[in-house]
Formats: sequence, C-alpha cells, structure tokens
Amino acid sequence: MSKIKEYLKQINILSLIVYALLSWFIIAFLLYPNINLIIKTFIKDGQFSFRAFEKLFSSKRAMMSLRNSFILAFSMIITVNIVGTFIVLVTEYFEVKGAKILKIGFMSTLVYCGIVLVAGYQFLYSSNGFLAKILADSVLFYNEEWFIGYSAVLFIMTFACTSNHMIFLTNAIRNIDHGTIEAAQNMGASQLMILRKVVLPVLKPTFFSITILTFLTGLSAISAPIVVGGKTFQTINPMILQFSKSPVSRDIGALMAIVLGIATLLLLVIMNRVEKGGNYISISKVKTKIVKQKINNRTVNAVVHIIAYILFVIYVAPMILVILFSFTNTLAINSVDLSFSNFSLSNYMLLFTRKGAFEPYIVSIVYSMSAAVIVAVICLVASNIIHRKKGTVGTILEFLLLIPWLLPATLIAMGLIMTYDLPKPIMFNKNLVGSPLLMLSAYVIVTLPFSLRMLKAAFFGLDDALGDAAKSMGASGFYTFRRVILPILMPSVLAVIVLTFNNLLANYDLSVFLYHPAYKPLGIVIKTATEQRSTQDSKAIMFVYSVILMIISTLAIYFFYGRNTKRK
Amino acid sequence: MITFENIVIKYNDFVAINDFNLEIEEGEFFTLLGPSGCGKTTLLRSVVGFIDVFSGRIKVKSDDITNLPTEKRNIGIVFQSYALFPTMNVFENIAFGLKVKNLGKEEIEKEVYEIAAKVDLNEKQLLRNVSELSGGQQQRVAIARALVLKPRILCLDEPLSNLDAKLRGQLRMELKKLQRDFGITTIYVTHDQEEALTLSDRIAVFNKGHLEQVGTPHEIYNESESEFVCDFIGDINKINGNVIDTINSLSDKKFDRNKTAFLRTERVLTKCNDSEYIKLNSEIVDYEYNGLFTKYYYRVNDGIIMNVEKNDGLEYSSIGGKIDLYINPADIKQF
Amino acid sequence: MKKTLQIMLVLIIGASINLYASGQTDTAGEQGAHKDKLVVYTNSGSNGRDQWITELANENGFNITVVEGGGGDIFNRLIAEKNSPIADVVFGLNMLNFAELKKQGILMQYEPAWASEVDPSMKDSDGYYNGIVKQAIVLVYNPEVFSEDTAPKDWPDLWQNPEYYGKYNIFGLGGGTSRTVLAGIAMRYRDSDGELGISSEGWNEIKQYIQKGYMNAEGEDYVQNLVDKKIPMTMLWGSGVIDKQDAYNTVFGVMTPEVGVPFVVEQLGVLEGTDSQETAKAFVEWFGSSEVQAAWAQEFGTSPANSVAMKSAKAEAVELDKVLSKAQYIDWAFVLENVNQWVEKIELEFIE
Repeated sequence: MSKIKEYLKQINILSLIVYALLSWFIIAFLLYPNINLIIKTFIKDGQFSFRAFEKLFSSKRAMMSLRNSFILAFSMIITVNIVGTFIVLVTEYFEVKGAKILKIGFMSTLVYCGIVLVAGYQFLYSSNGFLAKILADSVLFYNEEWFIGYSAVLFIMTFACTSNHMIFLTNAIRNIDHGTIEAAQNMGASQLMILRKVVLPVLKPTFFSITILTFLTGLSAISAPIVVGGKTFQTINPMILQFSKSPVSRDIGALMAIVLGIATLLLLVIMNRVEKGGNYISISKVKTKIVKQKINNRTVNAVVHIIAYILFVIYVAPMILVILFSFTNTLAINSVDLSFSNFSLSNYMLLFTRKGAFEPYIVSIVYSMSAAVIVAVICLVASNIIHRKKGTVGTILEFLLLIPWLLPATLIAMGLIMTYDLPKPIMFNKNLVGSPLLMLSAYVIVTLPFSLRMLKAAFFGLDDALGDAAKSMGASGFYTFRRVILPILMPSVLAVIVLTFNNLLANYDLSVFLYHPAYKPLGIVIKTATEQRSTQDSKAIMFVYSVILMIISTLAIYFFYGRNTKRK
Repeated sequence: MITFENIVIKYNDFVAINDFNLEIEEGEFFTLLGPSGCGKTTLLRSVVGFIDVFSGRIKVKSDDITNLPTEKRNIGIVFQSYALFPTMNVFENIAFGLKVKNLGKEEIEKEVYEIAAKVDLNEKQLLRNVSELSGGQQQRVAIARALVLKPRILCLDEPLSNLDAKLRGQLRMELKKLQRDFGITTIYVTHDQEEALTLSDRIAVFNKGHLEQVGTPHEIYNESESEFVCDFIGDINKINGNVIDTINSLSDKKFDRNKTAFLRTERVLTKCNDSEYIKLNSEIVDYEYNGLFTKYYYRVNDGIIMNVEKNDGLEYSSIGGKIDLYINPADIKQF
Repeated sequence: MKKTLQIMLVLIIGASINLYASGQTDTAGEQGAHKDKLVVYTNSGSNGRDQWITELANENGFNITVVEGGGGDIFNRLIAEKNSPIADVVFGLNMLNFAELKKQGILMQYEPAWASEVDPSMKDSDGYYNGIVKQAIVLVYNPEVFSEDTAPKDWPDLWQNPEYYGKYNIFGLGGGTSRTVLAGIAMRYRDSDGELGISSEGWNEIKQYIQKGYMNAEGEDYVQNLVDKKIPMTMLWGSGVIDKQDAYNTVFGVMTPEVGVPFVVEQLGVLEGTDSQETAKAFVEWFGSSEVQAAWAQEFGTSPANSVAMKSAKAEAVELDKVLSKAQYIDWAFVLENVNQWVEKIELEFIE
C-alpha cells in the first residue's frame, strides 16, 4: 500500500499530461480513422469481403507491379547506399579537391526532388532529350532506349534518394573520433582496411536508419515509374493511389497497401533487432576532430576524383537545365532549343502578376512549417519515452507511431474525412472536416514515421550518463530534456524539420482532398497550372515552379540548418 | 550514514544483488570493489536512484531514500565517461545544478568560482568548451559539478578507467586530497584493486552479486576471508599438492593437500633467522625486473613460488641458481 | 538560434490559431443574400478559369472561393465530405459523376430558369443538375500521317486494323475523357447476361482496345507526340481540340464515327445541407444563364449546353459542333452502375 502511494508520488503532473496528450494523438489520429477506414473498406453488408484477395492475386499486372516494387526497393538499398556513401566519403572523409563545390552539387537533391526531379532527368536523358541527342552522336553504341524501364527508374531513384546520406551520414562521420583512425594507421592498417574495419562499423546505426528509409522510398516510388517506367517497369504504388481513390476498388488499393505495409513491418522488426545488437557509442573521453584522409595510391586517387566529378555532373545537370529552360517557353523546351532569343521573364511575370499569386506560398509555408515543428515535438517526446522505456511500452509506442508508413497518403486522408465529418467526442465534438486543421493533422500524420526514425537514431547516439548526471544534480526530467538532451539533439531536430518542411511544401496527393477552400496550398496551384488540361507553356510553368520551390527550400535549409552547423 | 537493509535488485529474472546489508560511516571513503559484472555499479546506481531496488531499504542517516526520485536525493555522481554536457562550456556545466535550484546569477557565480578554485580550474578554463579539456581537467570539472551542490554523498563510478597509467596515478592522489579536503562521504566503484587499496578507508569486495568481505584495506589485504578475496586482491602464491606435502612435513601445521593454499608473495623470504620459518629448496626459473622491485619465480618440487625482492643495487640472481626460501606456515591461508 | 526558434514558434502558433479562427467563420457564414461566401468546387479551374469566374462573380455581387482539382479528386472529395459538405456549388464534373452525387443524396433539387434552354438529354430529369458545357469526346489525328481516307472511321478500327496498332493514345482510366470513350465502346456490346453487363465478345474487344493502344505516361506531352508523328492519334475533348490547335499551332484531323460521338456534358448543381442555399441558388441562376455561358464560351472556346448561349460561342466551337452534330446514344444509368468495375477489371486484367 505504502509502495503504491510512493509510486504515485513519483509521477509528476507534467509527464502525466504528456502521456495523456500522446495517447490521445495516437488514438484520435493514427488508430481510430485508419481502423474505421479499413473496416468500412473490407466489411461489406456486415461481412468480411475476400473479393480483394482474389482480384489482386489473380491479376498478372498487380503481381508484376508488386514484384517490381520489391525489385526496385532492394536494388535501391544497394545502389543508393553505394552512391550515397561514396559522395559522403569524398566530401567528408577523403581529401578531394573542390569538395565544397562537390558538396553543394550533391546536396541539390535536398531542394530538388519529387516529380520535378524526374522531369529534369527525363528532359536530359530520354530518347529525345537534351543529353541523349549529344550522346547519340558522340558515343558509339549509345542506346537511346535505356532511359525507359528498370534502368531508368533505378537511375533516377538512386540519385534522387541520397539526401539522407548527405545529412545523416555526414553528421555521423563528423562524430568519428580521429584517434581511432590514427590508432589503426599506427597498427599498420591500410586505408581501405581502416575504412572497412574502423570507420564503416561506427556508422552502422546510421546505415540502418538510412537503409530502412531507402527501402521504403523504393517501395512507394510513384513519380519515377509512371514517368519513365514504361510498359516494362510499373510499380505498385501508382495502382494503389488510383484504386484507393475509387470507392468501388478501394479494398484492392488498401490490400495492396497492406501487403507493402507487412513487408515494411518485417523489415522494421528485423532492423530493430539488428540495431539492438550493436550500437556503437564512442567511448573516447577526449575525442579528436576528424581530419580528412589523403588517398595514398595515386591511381585510386585519380579514379576517385574522376568519379566524384562525374557524379557531380549527373546531380547538377538536370537542375541547371530546369533553371535555364524555366526562362523559355514550351516550344523551346520540346525542341530543346537554348537560343538566346527564346529567353524571357514572361513565365515568371505570368505567375506573379496574377491576383493572389503569393497566397498559396504563404499557405504552404505556414502549413508545412507548422506540421514540421509539431511532428518534431511529437517525435522528440516519443523518442524520449522509447529510449527510456526499452521494454514493451517503448516497442508498442514506436510501432503505433509508424502506422502511417503502412498506408498510402490517400487512404489516410480518406480515413480522416470519413471519421471526422461529424462531431466526435474524441475530437471534443468538433468537426474536423471544414476546418483548416484537417490538412494540418494529415500533414503531421504522414510525416511522423520518417521523423521518428531519424530522431530515434539520434537518441540512440546519446550517452545515457548525460541524462543521469543532470538528474543527480537535481534536474527534473523535463528540465534535463530541455537543457541537456535537446541542445545536443538540436542539429538532428533541425535537419528533420527542414526535410519534413521541404517534403510537404508542394504536396498534392493529400492536399487535394483536405485543403480548406480559403487556403489553397501550392501543390494544388502547381498541379492545375501544369496538368494536361491546361495548354500554354505548361512545361515551362512547371519548371518555373520548380525553381521557386528550390529557392524556398534552399532558404529553409540555410535558415534552419546551414547557419547552425556552420557556427559549430 | 548510509545503511543498506536487505537490498535485492533484479533485472527481470536476473538477480543482480541479493540480500545485501551494509553500513557506511560519515566522511568515509568507501570503495565497492569487484570484477566487472559483480553488481557493484548496480548498487551504486541504486544509491543515486537510477535503479529501483526490488526490495529492502536504503537510508541516509535516518531518511529512507529508497523511493525518492534521483533529483531529490542530493547525491552527487561522477561518471566513468564524466558525462559533461557537450553543448555547454565548463562554467555552464558546473553551474547547471545551481541553475536548477533557481539561484541568483551572483550566487551562482560565487559558488562556481569557489569550487573551481578548490579543484584547480582557472577562470580561463571555465570559459572553454568541455571538449577542449584534457582528461584530468574533465575529471575535475565532473567532480566540481557534483560538489558544487554540496551533496550528502559523492558517488564515483570508475572515474579513472580509460586513462593512461601515469595520469591515473596522478588523478588518484588528487581525488584523495579533494575528498579529504571536503570531508564528504564517498562511494567509489572500481575493478582496480590497487586503486581501492590506496584510496579507501574501507573496501567492500563484491563477487557475483554478493558481498565477500568488508574491511579496511589492511584487513582486506592481510586478513582476506575468502579464496576469492585472496585471489582478487594483490599478488599471491597458489600452492598445491606436493609443495603442500613438503610444507606439512616441515611444520606442525597440517594443510589439506587437495585444496589450494594461499601465500602473499612478499611473505616469501630469501634470508631469515626466525625459527617459525621453514626452509624450502628451490631453483630460480625466471624474474621480472621492475625498477623498484624484482619479482622472482622459483621452482619448488613441481610447483612455482613467487616472491618480490626490494632492489638493493646489486646484480640480481641468475636463472638456474639454487636458493633457499623461508616461509612462515602461519602466513598460509586455506579456506 | 534559440531566439529564432522562439519567434518561429510564436508565428506558427499565431498563424494556426488565425487559420482555425478564420476557418470557423468562413464555414459558419454570415446572414443576408449575396453576402454569404460561397465555396465552389470544380475541375474546370485551370487556365485562369477560376480567376475569371471569381472576378466576374464578384462584379455581380457574389463572393466565391473556388476549390479546384482533377475531376476524380474533386468527385471523391465531395463523396467523402458527404456528412458535412464544404462546397455550396459544384460544376464541371460530367453527368456520370453528377448522377452518382445525386444517388448519394449530396445534391439538392433546384431548377433554374435557364434550364428550359438546355436540351433534356443534357440535364437531370428530376432537376438535380443541369448541363452548362458540352464536350464531344473525339479521336484526333495528325493529318500529315493519315488522310481523311486512311484515317480510322470508328473506334473499333483502331484495334481491328493492324495499321493503327500502337498509334493511338489512351488517357488514364481515372479521368472522365477516357471513361467516356470506354462507355462509348462498351455500349456497343451491352449484354445483360454478360460480365458486368458486357458480352464476352465485348470484353475481348475492350481488351484489344487497351492492349493495342498506347497509354501516355504522366507528364508526357501526348499532343507533342501527335505533332511529332510518334503517336499520331489521341483521344481528346472538344474544347481541347480548339485549345491545343492554337497552342501547338497545328490543325488536327477529327474522326466522326457513323454511330455518333459520345458527349459528356459538364453539369452544375447545388449541394444539399449547406448554410448558404439561397445564395447558392442565385449563383447557379446567374452562372448558368445564357449571357454568362456565352461569355465563358467566348473566353475559353467551350460549346455551351445552353442553346441560346451556343449561338454566341467561338466560331471554331460552332464549327466543331456542326461536324460533331450526331451524338452517340449512351445509357448513362447503365454506365454509372458499372463503370467503376469496368475500370477495375481493365486495370487488373488487361493493362500490361
């Protein structure tokens, strides 16, 4: 009895509130709407319908697409990790001339992504593209058709998905104790051996996180397959998107998503196991800052330089072309004509002289930033709990927060609308449909798993003793978190905020169902300005929007992330 | 000062500490000594409040602190990694706990400067980032950070491991001096018996979650109460079979030839007139020159006996040389 | 850094509260006719059409906000929001969609004065929705590739004559245009005993239609493909014919089948259960009127469903209207009942 009393005394009100809020969020936003949707989708006339299973598994196309999605995801684990690790090593670990410029090029995917990036690559490499024309003339046996199907999708996805490496692997390399490298050198290890046996193992936790994200990105690829996949390499997600929109076929869409979800879940479980097995926390008391390694072997050095610069061109060329052609018109773009007479500012003028042209930018920036900050806060609180409660509570909490990874954005949107179109007690009898908060909650939900994954990794890198030390000096849990843990995690938190922000900025799939009439987000404006129906200069206008998005994203990165890391 | 009553600590099903009882005196430098995994750190963490005890009580003076949260215990701790906050400079690290207490700016400064002076950190160092400090300086910051809060007890969790031998020796003395100056009750965790012997007022030797022996360094060393303590502390001869038979034949004491007999190396003499000593014939098989001492390995029957000789400037005896060893059967322990 | 973050946080929270607060008043609406703010859903908002109508409505005393998106998206959004509609008025979706909206009880019965000027085949007989713009759905070809003689005469030619294999473009089946073409084909093989109302021969034909065709990838410029002779034929909607000819400075050949051309008619309707029904009705009365529809047609090259407005449409539209004088008969009720399943079957079984 007295034990219970004492225990109750220990629970402070603050943490009680935090737990209550977190539980409410999970039930109200992650469980209730999604379960509601699944039930409404699969249970017809009070009976569970197996129709979707039969349809799905007897469809050759669906099976092929599913297979392709997995092929892509597994291929990407290899290619993205190779390219990603290489570009991080040449910018952070090895001494490569012009590393700073290279770095800017490799970082470009942070601001230049999604459908825009795919369009840029296609513009460059497709059979009547800019580069294809040059290469076909100069390179013997150049196969113009390579840029369709598996090779093209993998090529684009590989170069599009190295952002996580550039941010998180870079951070991890900077945290390596140079002493360990010197020690290995001293013991006569070759550079390759040091890299393989000393450096890469320390980066293992980071690799795990990035690999999971890469796999998921591969599984859920949309833009690249539909644009360059051709007949031979279509993936499942475009089908999911289409089916989940149709009320009749929604069950098939949901089922496909669940198949992907199970695969994701399996991977997460395996990764979590492996991750628990080996976390490397630096045990050095006095870390020395990492010094870039000069590659001793001359030939290897030359080859590394050459590859680095080829990659640089691959990264930067599509972006530069998009910027250049944003000043021309559709005709010039289609005929790949860069003559000076085609250049004008008219595209830009057109977009900004429209009445209310700036509103969508403000709406999207406010929405994306609010969502990014809210997500960061939720993930910080959650990771803190997951980190401290290593048992069942932590595991359950983690998997609950990863639910949005198991469902496509469209279904999440549908679930929200179908659940909160009438006042519900759990929403304090407020109607979410019709409120601007609807889209905000959806933005928060879909970006939650990514942020959680990244912040969790950051938490694992922390020395537990830091929190203990603060406590022993009388600091409460909250104070410790605010004054000790948070400042250390700040670079990771800011990185996550920026990535979430950039990710949401031009969102269409979710927004189109959820946006409030008074607040039209950028994604909708871009889509209607560039979709098939519109005629004049739609391609040029898409390029213009791409450029504007790049500028906003770059500013966001500079403002939130760049300045901060520089000061360090 | 600190009383442990029937402490049991469990990790799920694994019992880390079983029915542990101990009393630590006010102002004492008390060391928990044992090999890794013996439960000493677990016990320390339960004192600070990082680990909940399964049953039993921990009392400080008359206060029962068993269920008090860490932040309310006022017990300072210095970690093996020091756990200095990397985002704060030295001053901020030391001032941390004072800020938690919401002290005024001036008071904080006064306290920090005072403690800094005592641990020998100058004003310039106070403004440096903790990552720029040497290992010794980091230790002093970690100690200052704990002491500035005037804790009832100071806990130190292997603060000297991971340091080089010379620095370790130096810091050991600093630590001892600081503890004396402050007169603070200190619990020190280590697996290094030399550290334990030099620093402690009393030592508790741990093995597999239970207490083997508690006593002053002298008692622990000279009056070891178990095989484990004998073996774990200091350098000792383990005598078996035929050698025991020889000893039995030369003295009144009868040792069991089937059990190991223990004899401290420094108790084996090469010159002796004392009649209580018995003489064993031996041959030098090896030696280790150590500057201050030389450690010799002798063959007696089919066993090896070691001793240490203080260096007197003369050449050391050569391998193969015959020599007589003198031992006192009263020094031999069997359990 | 800390300062910046704090400021950001305050701004964001402020903005969110502001968003929420203003959102609440928006939906609550104010009293008094024409003072109500109207929310108008449409899939015909691109090309500055949303701005055009907003401004014109404003001059006429209406305060409207246009919510735009793809046809399928807007339709799904309306269905999902069934229990608490945000829109007051919806226009631009085809009869298929409107029939479903009516079935689900999302629309309100309202017959504006101008309804009598719209042909009965282009509106709901119960007065839940009325046509404003008719779109003939046609096949266009590059006249440099096919002459009037060598061009296909009817849709089945495309997959029955090897000459045309792989040379005609099919839009994604999520969109209205592609579904209407499908409906036009399916109507020919209607069989109440067949799977989903279509005979097995019909399914075979549809399979051929899909597999012998080319489906443009997203973002692929199918008009450019036609101009470049890569895929010299594509399906297209009526106003698109006029628009694209202008934009690409070219002239298309237009196929005119014997059975007639399937027409979709973009509809206009008022939603059930909104707070501003009177204003919404007034807006529909105004927007569907022959004057406004004529102006709209002049501006965007559409063919008004309103017979009075049709007289003052763009010359090209009038011309096209004459060429496509014969409408193919389509039983929309039949199509409505089955089209989603047709599309599902095609997506799963026919598309390779």
